[in-house]
Amino acid sequence: VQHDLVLAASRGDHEAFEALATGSYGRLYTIARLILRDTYLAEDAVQEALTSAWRNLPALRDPERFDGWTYRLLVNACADASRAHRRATTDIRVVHPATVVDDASGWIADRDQLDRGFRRLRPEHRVALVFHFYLGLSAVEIADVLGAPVGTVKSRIHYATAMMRSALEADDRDAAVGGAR
Amino acid sequence: MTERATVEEQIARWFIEEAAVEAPDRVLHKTVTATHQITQVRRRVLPFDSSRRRMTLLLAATLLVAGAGIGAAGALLYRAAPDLLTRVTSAGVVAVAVRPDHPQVVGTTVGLDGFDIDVARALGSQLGLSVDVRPVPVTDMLAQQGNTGADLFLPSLGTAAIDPARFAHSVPYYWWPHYLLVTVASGRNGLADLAGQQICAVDGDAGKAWLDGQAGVRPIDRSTAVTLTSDAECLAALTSGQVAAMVTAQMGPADLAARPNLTSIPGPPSEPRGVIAPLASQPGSLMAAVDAALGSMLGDGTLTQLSQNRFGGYDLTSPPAE
Repeated sequence: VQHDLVLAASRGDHEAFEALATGSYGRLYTIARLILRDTYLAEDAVQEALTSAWRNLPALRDPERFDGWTYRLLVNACADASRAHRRATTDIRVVHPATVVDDASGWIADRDQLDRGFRRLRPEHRVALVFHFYLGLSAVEIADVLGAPVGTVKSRIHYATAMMRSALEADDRDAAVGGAR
Repeated sequence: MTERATVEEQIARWFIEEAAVEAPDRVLHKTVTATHQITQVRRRVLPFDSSRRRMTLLLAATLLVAGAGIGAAGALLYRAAPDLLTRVTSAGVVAVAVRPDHPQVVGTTVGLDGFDIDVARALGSQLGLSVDVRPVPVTDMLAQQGNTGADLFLPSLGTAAIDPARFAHSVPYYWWPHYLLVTVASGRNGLADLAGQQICAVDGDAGKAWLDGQAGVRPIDRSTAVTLTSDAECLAALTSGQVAAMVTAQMGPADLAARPNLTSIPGPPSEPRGVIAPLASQPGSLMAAVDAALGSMLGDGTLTQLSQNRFGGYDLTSPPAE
């Protein structure tokens, strides 16, 4: 069905594009929000990605690659949004999660450390983590979506994971220091 | 007892929780409505056979390349200096500054030869460039005093010590450990055992900064920092009993293994260290290429091999495991 919708939309069918956009929108918004850690920037990025998808859809040669193609457009839009935001302000809006799960293992504290660690990552490293751990894509699949070498993607996942581990370990050290006092 | 999740599991769980927010419909409607006013970009289909089309495309490509060349030449006349990647690629050589001390000094007779020099050469090879290695004191690198003539710097400093307003830095290519050392004979095995004690650290080093703590809170309760100028002086103070512990600056895991009378207590973090370049040199594209090259060297084991060669068999190219 998606194949037919992509073909129709690429020929200028607005209804077909609306169906495609409706089907993709939720996931694209979530990915943008995870990468950018900002609701408003995520909205801008998704809007830009979908607009770009409509404009350039006739250039998409393989309709089966629509999902990966929109991911790539979204990553570019996120990079643009992030750059524009850095130029405009250094203020960071904190995205508050909808659900809060607490347990005896200190998950809340870990979440704060994960958030801080993630915010310190460069955009390309954030993308690698979100695509790998949220979308469940392999390094090969991510490389295909981004048009980047597989080695580069593996390196980004490795580095970003290491940085997140460091953030969690910092938490552990702080706890150890606090406990020792 | 609850088994602690791996960092990968924690990241995945965090993402799933963070994703539990509904996307606002208004953005979708606004976007779809806007596309009604946007014309799609369509490629024009050439109305002739494929061989003529190939010839036409070839001719067009040739003209495009020639035009780009002329355009680039024209742009060079009017633009400011090209970015760093363009400059080093044009020259075919990248000048890399390394510090003339740790971790470059290998023995007393070999002279200047060590890990960063190996990394600089391997990096040049990955980038397809010759490497001009230049010993530059780390203070000159950071102050950019005099004309170092270097494109890239390997200061062997933690990325936290690099001013992001003045320098771009790459992903880390090694993680240098700082050990909190005590004598085995002391029987001390935790930070609590060092409360109220004197701890030696090297002046200006990251280990000293750790010891000083943040916002007035020291990691070791009521400890006093004794600042000396080198690991050797701190070692002497530790073994003579003048201080209860020391934080290492330049001693690596092989140095520690060679001293069975000492043991380390978990405390100071390892320092991620990377390649840096002054922002004034427009290093963005080159730094992206450096990141990719380091990633490749990490992936194929080159960096690990260099680390093991120079650091007594130890692989310092990844953050230490918990």
